Amino acid sequence: LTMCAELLPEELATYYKRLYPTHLMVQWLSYRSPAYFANREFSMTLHDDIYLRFLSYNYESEFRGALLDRRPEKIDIGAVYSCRPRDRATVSGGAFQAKEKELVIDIDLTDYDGVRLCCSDARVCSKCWLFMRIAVQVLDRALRCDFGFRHLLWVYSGRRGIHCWICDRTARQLSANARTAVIEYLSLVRRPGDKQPQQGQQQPPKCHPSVAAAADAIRRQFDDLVRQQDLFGTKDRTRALLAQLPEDLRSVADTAVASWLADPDAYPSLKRWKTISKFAVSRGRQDVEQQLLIQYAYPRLDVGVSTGVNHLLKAPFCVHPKTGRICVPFDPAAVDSFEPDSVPTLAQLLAELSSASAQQQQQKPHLMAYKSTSLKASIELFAKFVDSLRADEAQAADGAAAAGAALRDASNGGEIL
Amino acid sequence: GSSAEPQVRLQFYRDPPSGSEQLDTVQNLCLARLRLLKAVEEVGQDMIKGSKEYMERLKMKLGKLDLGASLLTTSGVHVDGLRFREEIRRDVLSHFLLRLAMCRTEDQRRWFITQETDLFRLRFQLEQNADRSRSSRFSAVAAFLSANGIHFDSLSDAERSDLAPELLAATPGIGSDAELATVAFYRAHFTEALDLVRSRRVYLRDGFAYVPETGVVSMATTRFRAHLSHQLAVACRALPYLGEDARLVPLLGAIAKNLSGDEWTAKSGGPAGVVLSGQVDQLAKTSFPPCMQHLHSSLRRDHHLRHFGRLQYGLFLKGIGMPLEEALKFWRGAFAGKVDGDKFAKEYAYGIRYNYGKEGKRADFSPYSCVRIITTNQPGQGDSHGCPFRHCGADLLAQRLQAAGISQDQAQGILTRAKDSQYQLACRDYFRAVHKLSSDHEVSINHPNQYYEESRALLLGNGQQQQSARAPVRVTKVKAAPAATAAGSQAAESDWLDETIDQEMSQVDLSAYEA
Repeated sequence: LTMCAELLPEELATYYKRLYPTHLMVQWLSYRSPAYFANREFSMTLHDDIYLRFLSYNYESEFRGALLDRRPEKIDIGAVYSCRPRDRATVSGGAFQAKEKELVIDIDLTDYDGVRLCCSDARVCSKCWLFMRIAVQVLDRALRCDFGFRHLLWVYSGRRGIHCWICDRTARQLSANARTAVIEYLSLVRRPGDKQPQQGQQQPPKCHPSVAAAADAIRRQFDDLVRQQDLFGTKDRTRALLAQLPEDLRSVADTAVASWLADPDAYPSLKRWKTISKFAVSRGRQDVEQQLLIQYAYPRLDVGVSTGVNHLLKAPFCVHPKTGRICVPFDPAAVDSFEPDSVPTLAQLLAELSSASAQQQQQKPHLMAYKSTSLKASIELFAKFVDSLRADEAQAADGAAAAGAALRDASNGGEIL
Repeated sequence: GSSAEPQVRLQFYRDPPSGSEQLDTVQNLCLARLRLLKAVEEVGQDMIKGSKEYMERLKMKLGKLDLGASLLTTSGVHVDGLRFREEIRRDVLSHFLLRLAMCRTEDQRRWFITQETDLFRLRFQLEQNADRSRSSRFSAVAAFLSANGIHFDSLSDAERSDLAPELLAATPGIGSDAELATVAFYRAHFTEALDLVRSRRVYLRDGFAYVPETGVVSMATTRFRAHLSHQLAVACRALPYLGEDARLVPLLGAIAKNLSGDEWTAKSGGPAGVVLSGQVDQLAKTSFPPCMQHLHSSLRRDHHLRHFGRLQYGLFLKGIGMPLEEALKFWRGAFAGKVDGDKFAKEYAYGIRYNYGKEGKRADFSPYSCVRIITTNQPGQGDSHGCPFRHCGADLLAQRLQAAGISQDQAQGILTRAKDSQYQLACRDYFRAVHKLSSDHEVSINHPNQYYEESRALLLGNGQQQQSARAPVRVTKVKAAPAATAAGSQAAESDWLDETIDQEMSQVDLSAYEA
């Protein structure tokens, strides 16, 4: 089987037919309402870079049919519109509007190139993945504790990034303005090339609880990061660190640095970091230590991805064209043990399928074929996510129904249940 | 008898007024409120919104305007019932009328929402201040909120002390536990306090924001903006069904146009009377806006102008009061040396007569407004038309400013404005610089002919300051020109960024691919 230089249509066909979790995807995107699914925009990138937008499907069978027919190399999920995207020409211009969509976050390792010293551009290794782990921990906490979001789908984007789909009803109904506000709240560090985010920060020693919590999460992993990236190992990197210290700390730091540079081997990165951070804290400048942690390791967010209600984002379980890896969901609580290198590739899955014994193939129906491959865990994770989502939606619907019944009873003079 | 409670003046504009009014009154009210909102816009461009200077300046400017004084009166100031009702009616009526005038295009809606929201915020803050210094227990703010069904959940003392460390750490402006205990806190869903969330100035937990009483204005304003934006979208959809009104619709259209300076028809003779072809050189030096000065000097230098340059400049000359015969004389003379009499008559005279409505469809073309010059017919290599602040590179622009005798400091300010895409403000600052005016001098440049008129008025010793809002004249052509970006980029220090695109107004890219 091919090592993925190119995705072959036949291989994709097998993938969509036997492994891709079509039913779960439809269940997810329906949120218990068939009309919701029918009004959802999809886009597909086919072989030879043909790009189709404003696709929509009324039923699961249509969706599955399209997948098998078109064998898309990439599927994007867009917004839920005021009518079926494929019928948009039948309504007057202003009536076709994006109504709802999950709030999404996209984090890419290339935005860390200022501090990611082991690799650059497209290259990713196990060392730089630590940045992503930290990002997941920081954001997962903030999204759940600060914003109260509960249904977060974290997905590996296939090569060097992660996506987060925030699927709560509140999140789906946010306006573009609200989405921007959420992202700006979460933005503490500029990406290279972004304009300065709002300077709403407090003056020291005040530190917003969210920022303090983020610094705490980073601190737990920072020693490892410093060691692995050799973050302060050269003269330049050390100078860069010093340049971020405020005036009152810098002069004393200069002396320490002189001794480091005189005998570099005796002062590895971690030792240098510990010296500076302890020094700052001992001078009552915990805020400086926090700022440094954040500067080096806080997630860099792509604001543009999150802001638009009609923005399209790659769907989970796509195959990444360059690496062949599947864009699998993962459990944020177990992010420390998530290894991009262990994510199954299409080639690998197809091999596993064909090596499953003929008997096994007879016993298990088509739809369960994934259970004999490395995709099993990811799909089960996805299934759990979808179940919990649907349970919530059912409860919300019941709540609305009960409220409706109570209103009816009240107006009939009956007792309120 | 009248109730002892003060009257509440602040409006959410939920219910449209009913009754009938004279068309005159309608027009006057619309214009009065429009001038008010333009003043709000101007102060908002010159100062940081929400700052003390901003509030003082706005109070001063609005106080001088018709309608402004009554809008700024707070609820504590008692006036007799009749006058009170009249003032409320003028407030509500003018707002709803302007909604109709400004609901048609997205840019108009956005402008209207921004200014009305800023005005609302000012009035709310004035009411809060008045509440604080009032001796009686009446709170106009509380009365307003409850009258409009707006309820913010307040924290009990116990709840507040439970969260004290987080509230203290998250909320700016509160320095100690003792101080914290004196501040009322409200709990609202984070979507109600977006401005505060965006800049991380409130404590967030489980989707709820804990907002200090100073943040109530932000929450009320958020609701106001959301409500208004929704209502404008509704109004826009309902507009075609307004039915009839050959009176109202053109009036509203003219008012909207007045805002963007799109339509400008010369009064007969112009303020300088008739302009002769021999006067142009001198007038160009003293009173032409930079765009027209450039066209004029290119014309003199090259003895020629390309099509769009002739169009832009020719219509401008018509607007300053040059009659057709003088125009023909002028252009023939300008082209002499390059184009002989016969060729001129054959190729260019027709075009000039066409612009004056003497040929072809005989439409009386209006001189281009700033918005039009900035946004259409982008000049290319060898062209001289367009807006120099928009179309010239920074170096060339700096050079021209120096050549015009403008000081380094002033030039720097103008260049910054141009860089920030605030072209009309740049021109305004240019106007002030060349006419040696202070930076307080009230003027706003929406139209090259307006620049000319303001300049002539100054130089001819006409002491009164010209009102920059012109009374609307006949609408001859309806153009869908977008408002210039002068209204856009505000300094990033402001909390109140106008970068919102409400869901109702989000555009869908239908020009993408077909399935």
